[in-house]
Amino acid sequence: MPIRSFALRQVHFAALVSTLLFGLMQAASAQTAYTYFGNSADGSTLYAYTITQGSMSGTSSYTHGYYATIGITGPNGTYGTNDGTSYLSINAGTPAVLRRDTQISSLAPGSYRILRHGWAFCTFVGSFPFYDTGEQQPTVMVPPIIHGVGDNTTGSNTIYVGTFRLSGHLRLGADRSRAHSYPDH
Amino acid sequence: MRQSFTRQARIDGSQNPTLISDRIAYRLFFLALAEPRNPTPEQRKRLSAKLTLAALSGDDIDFIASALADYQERGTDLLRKHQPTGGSQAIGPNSTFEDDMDTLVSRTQSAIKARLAPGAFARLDRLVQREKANMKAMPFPQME
Repeated sequence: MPIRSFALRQVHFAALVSTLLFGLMQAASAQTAYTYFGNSADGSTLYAYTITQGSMSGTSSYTHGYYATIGITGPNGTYGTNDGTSYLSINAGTPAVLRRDTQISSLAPGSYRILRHGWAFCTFVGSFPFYDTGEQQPTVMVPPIIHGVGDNTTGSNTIYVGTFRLSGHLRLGADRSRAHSYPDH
Repeated sequence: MRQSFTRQARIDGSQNPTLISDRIAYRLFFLALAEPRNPTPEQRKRLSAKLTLAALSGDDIDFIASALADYQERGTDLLRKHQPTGGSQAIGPNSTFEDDMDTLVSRTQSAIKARLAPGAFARLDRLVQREKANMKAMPFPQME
């Protein structure tokens, strides 16, 4: 019985400490930094970009900083034109925005690996990564683009549908998943 | 200890997109898209590419480009306004910059919504909601 009573007291004490700690952490977490990573392609160019925005409070006795890394690696060992890391160091208590864009043009079909990373630091309390070390980096697949169609045997661009001959051309659907034939007029 | 604190505290939009508020999502999205007024053809192309999934018309993209150029200029003014005044002097409450940015985002949203073709803003909003998966928020312990 005394043992159970001691155990209960321990549980209550632990609960009390947890509540106090949680309250302290809540009170100390009134400031937030945000990050956003995106990528998009328009058919000829693949873009990758990152934004970090923070507005941590404090006094300017200490320095705050943000790092943002963005990069693209193409299937043939190509890289983005503006791959790299941007860095911003500011006095504590100063709002800041850090943006970096990179891109690869003349896309070859294949897999494009995107590297993104970011973290914030304070000379007083240390650094905080936005991403875990093992977090998977996104990959973008670029499909082949059909520029024309020819007959393997004759090399002709004439299109046949069954036994009917079409004088026309192929146009890719908006989602690039299907090609449709259109007669020339 | 610090590492475990940040892991627990970090809000990951890919895991919990609903925990990224709309005001933060639009703020980041607009910041990522904005190009200067009178953009170069390359800057205009880049902005357009970032809106590809919203399937907007050229006119709608032109208006968004103009609204976001304005957003960028006013946002830069806000950053300037909230700089410390010098020395080791602390600036005012942190929420002031946040409040100002929220107001700016809200006004920009309203201006875009009022001018876009019917259905276009809904598509833009779907894109922003989707992009929450690529956003993260990290509450910090007090940095003094």
